[in-house]
Amino acid sequence: MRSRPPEVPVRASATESSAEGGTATRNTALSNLFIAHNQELIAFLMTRLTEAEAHEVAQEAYARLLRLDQPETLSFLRAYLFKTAANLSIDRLRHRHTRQASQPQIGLLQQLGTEPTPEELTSRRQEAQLAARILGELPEACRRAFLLYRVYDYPLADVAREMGVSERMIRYYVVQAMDHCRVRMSAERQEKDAER
Amino acid sequence: MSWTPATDTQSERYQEACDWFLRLREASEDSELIAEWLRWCHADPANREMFEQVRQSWGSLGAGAALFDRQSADRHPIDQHLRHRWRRPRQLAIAAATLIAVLGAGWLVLFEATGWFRTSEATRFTTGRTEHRSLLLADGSRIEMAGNSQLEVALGKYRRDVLLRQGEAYFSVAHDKTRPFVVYAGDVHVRAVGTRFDVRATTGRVVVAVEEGVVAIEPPNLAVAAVDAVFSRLRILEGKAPAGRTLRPTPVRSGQEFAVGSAELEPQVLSIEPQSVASWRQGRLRFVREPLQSVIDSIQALSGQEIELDDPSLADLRFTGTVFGSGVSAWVNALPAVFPVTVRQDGNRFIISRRGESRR
Repeated sequence: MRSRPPEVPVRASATESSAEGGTATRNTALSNLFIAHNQELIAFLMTRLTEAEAHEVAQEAYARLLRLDQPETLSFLRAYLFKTAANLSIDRLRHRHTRQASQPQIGLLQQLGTEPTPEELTSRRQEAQLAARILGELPEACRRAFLLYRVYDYPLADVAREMGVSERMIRYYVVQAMDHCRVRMSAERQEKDAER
Repeated sequence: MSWTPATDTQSERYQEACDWFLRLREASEDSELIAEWLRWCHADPANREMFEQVRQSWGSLGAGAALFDRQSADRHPIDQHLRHRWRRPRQLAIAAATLIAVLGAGWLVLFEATGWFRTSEATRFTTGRTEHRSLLLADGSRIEMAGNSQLEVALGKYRRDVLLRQGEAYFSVAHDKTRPFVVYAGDVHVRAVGTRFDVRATTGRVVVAVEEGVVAIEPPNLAVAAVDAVFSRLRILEGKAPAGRTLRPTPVRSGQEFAVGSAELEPQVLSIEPQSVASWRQGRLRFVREPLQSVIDSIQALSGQEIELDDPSLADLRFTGTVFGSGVSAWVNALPAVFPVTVRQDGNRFIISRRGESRR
């Protein structure tokens, strides 16, 4: 059983219900919401988007919250924030293809800012080789589920249908594959460090 | 299952975080799920940290997973068979594309025979090391070939096609809207109407620099299969870009350079000076973040100087700058100032090694 977290004190003071204090209250509530949950919001969005996209979507979600008519309670605002962000992220994924095709300059700017150094490229390549080798240790069903989900980007439900097992099973496979990689990769890294 | 996964003390929490990660990835707007996840995050800071770790390893495992997928396709035909079973829609698309390509090729042959759609024979041109060659085509276009290059030209009534098999060439295309001028190099094709640009194709890498006008870079498609038929080698269309990447149609304008290759994670478009395009014609080579191996290939084609990398990992070091054909040895000897390498000379060859491990 998961325990309840201490509620974050986000609800603003007593002015919440007074008409003239509404905007200010909501702004306070929003900034509190931001402080309390922005990290989680970004983490949530980054399960499917890049970091830059996640920040953009989060900003847009806050902007939409500001446009709400009445001040609301924290729990409503929080749910609304994540719901809006989730919807925006889905739109973003849907339009990702067309956006990238029509705006190559944006991609260029991003690349210029984050271009890897040769050393980074080499170490990334070595990491990839290590990960590939370790993935080879997995049983076939587990590996196939992971590859279909990670490389081919199939939705979990599609992987399940293709492999003829439940979605829960696929999730279990992917989790096992990732944990196995984590444990084995850190072991290999330690071994390599020990050699030095 | 006889196999047991590797686990450690962190496994329980990691797997829990991983499960959350997957559920959130799949969630659309399930407020209850998100609220529950937030409670889990706040229950213990370690949960939140572990979630972050999962997110990072999700990103970093991508390259390894893609690599494994490619390797298994190369090495194990059985695996490939299985793999393809899961990609039925794509396989169907490939089959359909192949069918259309074959029909298209048949169509070409038919109209070729009746003379209605006249595609000339492909003519092949090659240059040796240090040789430059200038071709004036019947349509008024000009091609200047750098050393060590091979290309084929087919001028038709409705299209002009050039297959750059290897090396580098500079194209000055005569304007003719009714006959697109297309250069095929590696897995890309470059479509131009009246423009000047340079294409370089080395192992696994294509660079297109535009001096004037606009070209469109396009992924391989049916046209490639049709053109392959013209160049008398009908290739089965693979239907995907190299290395698991999708190559999107990209316009490249005057003052831009497009590069795609195994070293890039994504195709790149960089800004360049238009007047520096194809400066190899003046005995200069100009590079922007070019992999060292590719730089060396170009230098060999220009100057004939043999240069060898004795450690394959050096091939991906990125070089930016200008090399003069007359000053190659000065360039090589200056490399240790820029890269972690040492240089020694063996007869006529320069050998470049990684610093600190020259003896292995």
